[in-house]
Amino acid sequence: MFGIGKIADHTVLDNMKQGDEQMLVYLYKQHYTMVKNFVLKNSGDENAVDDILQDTVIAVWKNNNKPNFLLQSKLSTYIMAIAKNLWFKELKKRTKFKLVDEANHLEHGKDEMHLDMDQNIIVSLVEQMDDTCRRLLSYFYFDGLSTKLIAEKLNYANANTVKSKKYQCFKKLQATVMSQYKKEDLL
Amino acid sequence: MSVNEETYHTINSYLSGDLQGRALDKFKIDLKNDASLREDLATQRSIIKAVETARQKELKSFITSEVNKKKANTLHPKMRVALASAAVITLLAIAIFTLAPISQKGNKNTAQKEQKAPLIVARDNAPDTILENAETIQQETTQVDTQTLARVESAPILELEPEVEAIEDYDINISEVDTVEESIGLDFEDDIADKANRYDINEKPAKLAKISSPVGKTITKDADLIVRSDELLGKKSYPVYAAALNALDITTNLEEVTVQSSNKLSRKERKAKNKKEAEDNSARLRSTVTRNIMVEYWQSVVNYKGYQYDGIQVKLYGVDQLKSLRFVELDNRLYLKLSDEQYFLEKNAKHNRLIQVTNPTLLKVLNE
Repeated sequence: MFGIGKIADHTVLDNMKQGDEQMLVYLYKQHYTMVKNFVLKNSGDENAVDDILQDTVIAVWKNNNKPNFLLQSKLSTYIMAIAKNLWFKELKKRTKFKLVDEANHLEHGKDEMHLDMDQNIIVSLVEQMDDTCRRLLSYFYFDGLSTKLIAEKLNYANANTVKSKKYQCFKKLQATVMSQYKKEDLL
Repeated sequence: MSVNEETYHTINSYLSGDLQGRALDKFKIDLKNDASLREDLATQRSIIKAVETARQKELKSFITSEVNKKKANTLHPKMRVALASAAVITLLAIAIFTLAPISQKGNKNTAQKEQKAPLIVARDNAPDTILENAETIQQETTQVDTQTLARVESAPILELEPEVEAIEDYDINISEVDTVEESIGLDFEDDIADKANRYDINEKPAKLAKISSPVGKTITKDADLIVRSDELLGKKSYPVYAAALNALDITTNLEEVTVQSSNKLSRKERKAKNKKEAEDNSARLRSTVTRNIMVEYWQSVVNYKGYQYDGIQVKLYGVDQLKSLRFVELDNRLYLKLSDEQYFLEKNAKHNRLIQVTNPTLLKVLNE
């Protein structure tokens, strides 16, 4: 689809705002070499490149849908800046991880693992939801799409319908989660 | 258990940062005082986080699958080069194997056509019939197919070859050469003479079988090759008369003498005296024979006209034996008078064409 030629930055961002997920793939491919060179030059490996670049384009996706987002540079510059920040953050995390006391690390790790497990269970519950509810909640909470656009994408009558449908879906998910956990577990 | 819709939207607004002003203050006070609201906020925050994580996972898997799909569809550059090379080689192989039979077929067809015509003629074995057949074939072929027509026209000449003896065949070729020679002049005489030499029996390899014909023709035969050589028609000896360029000087000197003495003699007497002296001189010159020269008359297989003069004998090619010859030597150069024309004979081992003397002064001396 995007094999030939280059799409203008504003077109990419506009398409992203419309929820065109192919733009993520386009950005990934366009910036792979650039990010790879950077990561490999800075103590990284191929796997790290994939993770960083995926996180980068998803961050662009999320930020682009924020109402006050304004791109003041080339998209590639912006993407490289995000990738660099993410990679330095990752490097810092790795250095910290090496410096912590083994005992503390084990204890802390145990807690972190517990929390992660809880979060993973909720994530799996989200994934088990019906497609419409899952997409609706995703569009609203993650993609930051307006209720009007969600109504268009999911064929709802209007923004109010989306609002009430969103509440119903959330209530449903909350009920499922609450059946698995006590409220205290989530605090 | 579950929050009401209003609380849900308020918590949403608080979490997204949209809640501002008094509404925000009020929500913060409620949050401080109401434990269940705090629980609802925590639950909603966890669920929203999970939704975000799930969506992020979904997008990541989407990117991975799409990239892998495109990677699978996209070939490695080295692989591309290898495939392109393989394709080119395959195309070349196909082209070679496809075109080779066509060209062979084309040659075969031409050969078949050439062979086909002789078969028709061979049965009849008569030139008239051949022509008739050729005409018949010509009528059958369309006028558009000019190549076929040309082939049909040439067919009768071609099929004569197997029917006639090889020697006759060679004669035909010689006549063709002769025709060419006549048409373009004598420029190729040297080449033709060389060609004739090549067929000379003396220059043939020893392994060739030699067959002497009763008519003086020497035929060299090696399997299918039969070659004729030049034929010696006869030999004659001719006297070589001496001439000198000072003959002219003598004449002029005589004239000068007569001019000097003209004062003493009358004009009539002077004229008679000059004439007498000139006749005496020329008679003296004519009667001076320096040597005899042997002349061989040859008939060239290629009807070559020319000579070969080695200083001792002259080989004349294509010259009639009955014609009278006169040789005059002037300043060690030999001149031949043939049919009232003077020719200069160059002394060398080559076959030369007869070069006519055109210099009037020289002609005057030679003709005296």
